[in-house]
Amino acid sequence: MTRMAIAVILAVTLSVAAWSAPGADGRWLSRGVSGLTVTPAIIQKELGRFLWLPDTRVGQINVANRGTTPIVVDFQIAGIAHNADGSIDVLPCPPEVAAGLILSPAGPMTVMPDRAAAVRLELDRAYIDMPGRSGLCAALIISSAPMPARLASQGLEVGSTIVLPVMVKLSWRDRARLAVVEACVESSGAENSRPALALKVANEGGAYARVDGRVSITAADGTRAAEAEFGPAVALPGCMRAFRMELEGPELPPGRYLVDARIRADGKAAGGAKFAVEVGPKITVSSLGRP
Amino acid sequence: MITIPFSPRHGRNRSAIVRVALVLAFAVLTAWGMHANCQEECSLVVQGRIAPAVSIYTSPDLIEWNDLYPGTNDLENAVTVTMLSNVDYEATISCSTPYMKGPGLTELLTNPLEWKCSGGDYRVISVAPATIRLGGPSASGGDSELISFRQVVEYSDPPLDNPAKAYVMTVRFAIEPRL
Repeated sequence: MTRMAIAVILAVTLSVAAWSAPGADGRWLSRGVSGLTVTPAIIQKELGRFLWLPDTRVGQINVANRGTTPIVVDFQIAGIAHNADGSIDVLPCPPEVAAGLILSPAGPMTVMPDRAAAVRLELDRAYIDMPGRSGLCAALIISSAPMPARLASQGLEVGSTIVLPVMVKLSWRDRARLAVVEACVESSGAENSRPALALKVANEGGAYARVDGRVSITAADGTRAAEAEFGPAVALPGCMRAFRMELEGPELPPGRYLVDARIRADGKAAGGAKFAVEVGPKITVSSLGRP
Repeated sequence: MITIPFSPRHGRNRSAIVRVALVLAFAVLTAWGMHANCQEECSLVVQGRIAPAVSIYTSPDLIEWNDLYPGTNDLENAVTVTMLSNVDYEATISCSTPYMKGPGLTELLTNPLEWKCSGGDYRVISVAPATIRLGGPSASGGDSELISFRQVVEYSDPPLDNPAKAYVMTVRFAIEPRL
């Protein structure tokens, strides 16, 4: 029995030594894997209310440790914006957003390998009660690092981060305000190439909106030259989304055209705009003047 | 005119037959109704919604670079970053500070750490995230990137007095869904 125990101890010691011994060239790459999974990776929630009592529950996220070592998961709330193609920009957090989004638990938590932790998200009632607020948008930055006991301060530590967009809308205050700020017909001039319509839509409201719509182009004589649909895509408040549509049919001949863009926010009509566009023999000039 | 009634026995028989027929009719109707109702109640509608999910794996999670000498030090294919996502995403690399730092407050290496993706050129690592990959819904194995590091060490960068200590830095790989 004693011999067996000694053999086991020897085997474990040797395997640990083999695991942690530096390589012949003096470099040591741990065999540990850092893995982090977050579901859902995007939170979109439309909060309702019963009588005068608003719902404050935004949702729950599950953070799973798929690595081989215990990790400490930390949360940070930040501001959020996006560029025209939808890539997220993490911004400094406005104080009202930091106070308005409540995480439970809020502090760092330890997650063992192959285990998951749940975090509930709620909106602060005071934030909802403020008049004029129609939603909240934030970036929840979820960072993982090996447990402090393992932090040997040796060389390069590799950590993982997941940025989770949190978008909340107060349905009873939501007034989607979308505006087409630019329309441009792009003509490459090459043979067999289709003209493309580039459209930029700005969200001037206070809550996120899922934008889609339809664009029709008519010639000066009233004949329909082309038609296309765009979206859907999410637009955050104060941000702009760019859409690019290849138009069916041949190249647009030079002349003046009228672009009629009908926009929908979350499937409901949200206005539109008409733009005059002048297509030249080589280049395209767009006009933002509304007819 | 004289009507000769049926015999009492005959009348009882007919009413009994009528009663039995009515009971049978009700039973058949009830059974049919139950059968019909059961057909409606037993139908099952299955709905499903797939939640957006992202994962990021890095291997290894710690690099001890013990053979740094004055000159250019390369660590080819040091880290494998694997991204799994069912939505469009952007993966980035950033760091706590661009310079590897010793235990003292002022013990910084002269040159910043540099990184590159396979097939790319070395770039100085930055606190601001730099894109390593733009991707979409992943195949079953996910999308992988091999990251290499380079550290230029000067003769003015001293070895640390305590051999148990090292110059350290935290490199952070991030994934974020695109809207």
